[in-house]
Amino acid sequence: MTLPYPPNTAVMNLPRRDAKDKLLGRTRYTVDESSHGMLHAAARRSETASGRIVKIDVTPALSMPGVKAIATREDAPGLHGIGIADHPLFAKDVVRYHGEPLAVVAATTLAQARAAAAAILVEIDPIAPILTMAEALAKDAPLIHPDWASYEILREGAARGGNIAWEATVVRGDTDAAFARDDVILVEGTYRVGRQSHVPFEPRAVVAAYEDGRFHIHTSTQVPWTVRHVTAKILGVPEAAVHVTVPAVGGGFGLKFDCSLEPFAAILARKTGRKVSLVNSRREEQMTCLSRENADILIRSAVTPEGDIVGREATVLMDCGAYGGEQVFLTTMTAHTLGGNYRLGSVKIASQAVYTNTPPNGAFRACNGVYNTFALECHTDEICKAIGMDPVAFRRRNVVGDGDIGATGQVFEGDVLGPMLDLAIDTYGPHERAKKGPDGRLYGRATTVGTWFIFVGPSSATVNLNVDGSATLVTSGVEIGSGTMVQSLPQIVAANLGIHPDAVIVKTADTDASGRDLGVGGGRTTVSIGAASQEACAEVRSKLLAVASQMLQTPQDDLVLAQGRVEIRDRPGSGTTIQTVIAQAELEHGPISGSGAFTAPGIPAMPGCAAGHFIDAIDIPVFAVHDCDVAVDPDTGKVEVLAYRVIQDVGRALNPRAIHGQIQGGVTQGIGYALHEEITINAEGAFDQTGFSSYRIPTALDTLPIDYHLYEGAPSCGPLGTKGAGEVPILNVGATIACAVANAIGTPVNALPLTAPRVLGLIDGLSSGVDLAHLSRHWHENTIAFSE
Amino acid sequence: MEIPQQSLISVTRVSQALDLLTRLGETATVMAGGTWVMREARERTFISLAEIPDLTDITLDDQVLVVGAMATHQDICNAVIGAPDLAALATAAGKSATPAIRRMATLGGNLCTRDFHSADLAPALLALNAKVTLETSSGRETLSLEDYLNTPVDRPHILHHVTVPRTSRRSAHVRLMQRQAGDYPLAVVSLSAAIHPDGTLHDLRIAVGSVEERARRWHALEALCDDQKMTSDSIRAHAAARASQDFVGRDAVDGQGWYRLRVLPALVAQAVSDISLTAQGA
Amino acid sequence: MVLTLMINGDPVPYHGDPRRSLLEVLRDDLHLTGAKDVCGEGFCGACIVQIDGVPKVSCLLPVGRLAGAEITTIEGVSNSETLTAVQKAFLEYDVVQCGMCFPGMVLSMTHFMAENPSPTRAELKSAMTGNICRCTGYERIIDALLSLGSNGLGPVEEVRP
Repeated sequence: MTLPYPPNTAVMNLPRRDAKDKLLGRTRYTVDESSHGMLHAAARRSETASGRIVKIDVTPALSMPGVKAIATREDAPGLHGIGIADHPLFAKDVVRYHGEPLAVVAATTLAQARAAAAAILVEIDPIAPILTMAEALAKDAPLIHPDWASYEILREGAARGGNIAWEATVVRGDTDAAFARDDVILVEGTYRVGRQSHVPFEPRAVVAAYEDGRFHIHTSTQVPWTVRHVTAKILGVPEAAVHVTVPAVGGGFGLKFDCSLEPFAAILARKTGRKVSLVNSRREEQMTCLSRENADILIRSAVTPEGDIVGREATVLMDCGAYGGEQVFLTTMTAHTLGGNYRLGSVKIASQAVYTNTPPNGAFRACNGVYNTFALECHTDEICKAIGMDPVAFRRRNVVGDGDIGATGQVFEGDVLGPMLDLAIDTYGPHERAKKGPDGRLYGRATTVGTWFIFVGPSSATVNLNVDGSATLVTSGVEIGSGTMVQSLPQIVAANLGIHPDAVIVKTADTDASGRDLGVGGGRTTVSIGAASQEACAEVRSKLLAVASQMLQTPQDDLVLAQGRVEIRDRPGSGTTIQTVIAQAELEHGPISGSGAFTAPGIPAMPGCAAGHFIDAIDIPVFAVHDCDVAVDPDTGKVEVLAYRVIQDVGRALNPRAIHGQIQGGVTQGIGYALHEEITINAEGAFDQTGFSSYRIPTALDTLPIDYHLYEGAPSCGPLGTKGAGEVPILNVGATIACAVANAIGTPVNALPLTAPRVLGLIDGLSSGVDLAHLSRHWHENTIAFSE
Repeated sequence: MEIPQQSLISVTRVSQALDLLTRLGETATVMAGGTWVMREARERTFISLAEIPDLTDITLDDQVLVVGAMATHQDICNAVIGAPDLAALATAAGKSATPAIRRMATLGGNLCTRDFHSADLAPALLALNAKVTLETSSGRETLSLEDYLNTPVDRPHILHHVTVPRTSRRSAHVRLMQRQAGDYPLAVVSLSAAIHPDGTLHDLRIAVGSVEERARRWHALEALCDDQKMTSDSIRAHAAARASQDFVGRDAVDGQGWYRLRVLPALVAQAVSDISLTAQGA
Repeated sequence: MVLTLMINGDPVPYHGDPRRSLLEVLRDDLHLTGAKDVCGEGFCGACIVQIDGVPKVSCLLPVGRLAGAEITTIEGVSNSETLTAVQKAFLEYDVVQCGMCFPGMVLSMTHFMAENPSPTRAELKSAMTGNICRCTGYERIIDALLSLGSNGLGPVEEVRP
């Protein structure tokens, strides 16, 4: 697409317009909402991980001071979900996880609501919970969803059954033949990762009202249109009866990429006729966090002595917890993450979401990609060891380039990863041998590659050109902290219209005002909303220039928009202000506005390769090369990251300084994931880590200045060639640190997080490894679709 | 005195606090800095000691350090920093928790909160041979911190102050966390030793914190070091041989017992080498 | 219990349970929502206010102990015309993301910078350990603070079209 303006006019380090109020403590997040007469709600949650509900009696609670209404399972009979509708709002006949909502109470004060919630009489007959995927997949394991076959299917095409909520498979080429070759070396790796909690500083929170027969939901979400859809579905009302608005969101990281507390508050608002605020306590937020899922991963590869990967088989088990949720969708991603990075002669991948009696999981920044990249890159280093090849040389030989095909048979365009790897080694120097330092610590380094994507899909935008020469951008975008709504979007609109970004008013999400959108996540805002905005601007431009062309007696093609003026090309000062043109346009046609839309361009995959996938091919791949140095203390197992370097494929960097902020923040979250953020599930099926005292997120002393290089010029269908830059920085942090630690201690690493005790166990040789006895080495036996 | 009908009572004399404690029993709790009780015990009546004059006093001279129970970690760190014999205390007070908590959490809270197993001041003061002075209804009594920690004082009492003798010894405090800050330590070793002119360490006092529910001296290891010319390596070997005999590692969410024991020898060795370094620097 | 709190220079009468945290009173009673209720355990620092000029976590401060103390919340440190130097540095270095931690960060680091006008990077990082941020990865905040030093606010790059 040729642009009607030089793309560099959109590039600048525009500061955030929302920073000042945030620094002054004036920004009102959902948790800060209050108004006269607003009620406060509290949930009663199950303290049993699995059991049959004998009784829920709200009578004593209803008569307690301040109580206005209580909602229970009778108020929300419907089921919702992604791919399959398996999830009730309240536990119905059985509870399936510790923390599952049983009732919500609205009362005058929060203390009254909590007291009443605690007074609800609950009787549950406990059933032995299934807490691990190994137990869930055991022969004769009880079914967590005995009625799975009767659930409404929201997307066709996946194999399901037993405790497997969803299965996505990839089969391309003949791996049996590849593994049977007599010249190949077989390498097998087993990996296990734990959960990661997002810990947004603003917990999930909502204020709901019921006005004029419609629900107004003011909420801390990344997905206003999902909230609208799911709330309507659960309440059994038309979607048009739900109105969603979103103020500044105090952190999301994917946690808020699903409907959560909103329907509870909506029901209570309708029952009471009052505004109802429902905010998770930190303990609730932590213990019911829709975490990055724990996963078990088996990879087997057939590699030639020269270093060609002729066959790869992998099975990835993703714990979805008690309900399918986001993991059903995320089974799709394994093909593109674990199946990514490298040219594969033949490949079979199974990716399954497995039910357990644990809190449901969800989406978290580069979901699925983070741990599959960890497993893939550790496995890659183990291959290099097995065939005696340098890990960088092996990667350079095998990374996908122009014309290569991916796991599902899509054809990649452009050489990106190869040159990025070259740049890394040219810049950071070749690897030296791992060594013991004079301080007794073990030093190691690793360089890894990663493949991620932009989650495109539908977005819409309207641009209104105002008489004062400003423009109002109306979209369903949400400012979750990443800055897209206050930086890249106004920059794109301003460049299109020849005005300063400060003259672009950005309306935040309001489903009554803005068009449908898939939500803020998956690195999609700049790309999808940006593309829709650019299309809206094109309509505005053409209307504006048509009028200006008459006024200036100049063909439209010879007019340019710059600095708030319409000028005749190459003759600065020759034209007029856009306000003058807008005034003329109002006289002739009325106010100027434009609308634009965007959706997935739909890159093809190889027919028949992929089954059970939501996306068969990735429209905009994003690549990353990470490199780090670590030191490991052999006495304590503590890992220190000494240097961390990122080369990130950004397409075009619209706001380099803001991208730096995303890289610094994303890598730091990745350091937490790699080293000390740990969730353990106890015998009751509850998380041991209930708050900041036990869940260890990085402090200022746990990170370091991240060295970064923004790699520009890779192909992208995003506006101005952009790719989202906020999600991918976390992608290969776990992988890179793990590979560097393995390099330092001379022992393969097969689990995350690398807490000091785990590393010390590896050094001492005490760790029994990750055996994954519940997975067969005959790939088809792990699948539903291909098992005989 | 009349007990006011309120849930936070600020007393101005220790005797008032004792009186209230006696009368209210389990329904009340003493509040020092508040950083523990505000999280744990908001149904109970708080007896706040903040208004008692001189409980925050710290005096330091050549003979003795006296620290009032309501002195905060930050106060203590400021007072003792630079004193070579009290280095363990300066580190314990200056590196635990976070800056804001160090400005609030007190010596008394750290030593008296028996449910808190990862106190930093306790092992540091054990290694420094501290004595505690308690106020009870039968008067003031002074006992060693070691006795105070080992044998719970069940009678109502207020820890009034701690006394540390000044010496020409050196001390060090080594704490291990998973992160670089903001965690409770998984294991703590505090060490105090006399340094001979040839640089060797003698008469070691070693205290271990966080490994078990309460900090305590490691007498068995101290005995092995008696009259020996100890190096970082030799003491480490002794510690490795003794650790699992002398301690039962505490399993908790933040760390498992085996790990706390496994790292002890390295922490002891680190403390020895920290002391040797400061001795060389002096 | 009845007492008077001095909040941002104004006397504020308080009737109620003296064990309630200052944070609850600020947010729920007085609608001063700048201090954030995040961890409730004193670990995160998002609720930090200054008590007699010293930063403390308001979630662990019972109001019953605060009669007579000067309480300064983020709402009281500046107005939009006169940002403090720390706020200015954060603004000009574009370090804010979701923003939830910044009220506490501003109050902590303003105090620290006043006491340590020319800190090293390591000192700044240690001083920041009680202010957890989930978005930014800290280092750019440190860069902004380093620009304050004794040399005053450093140059700020901004490319304008």
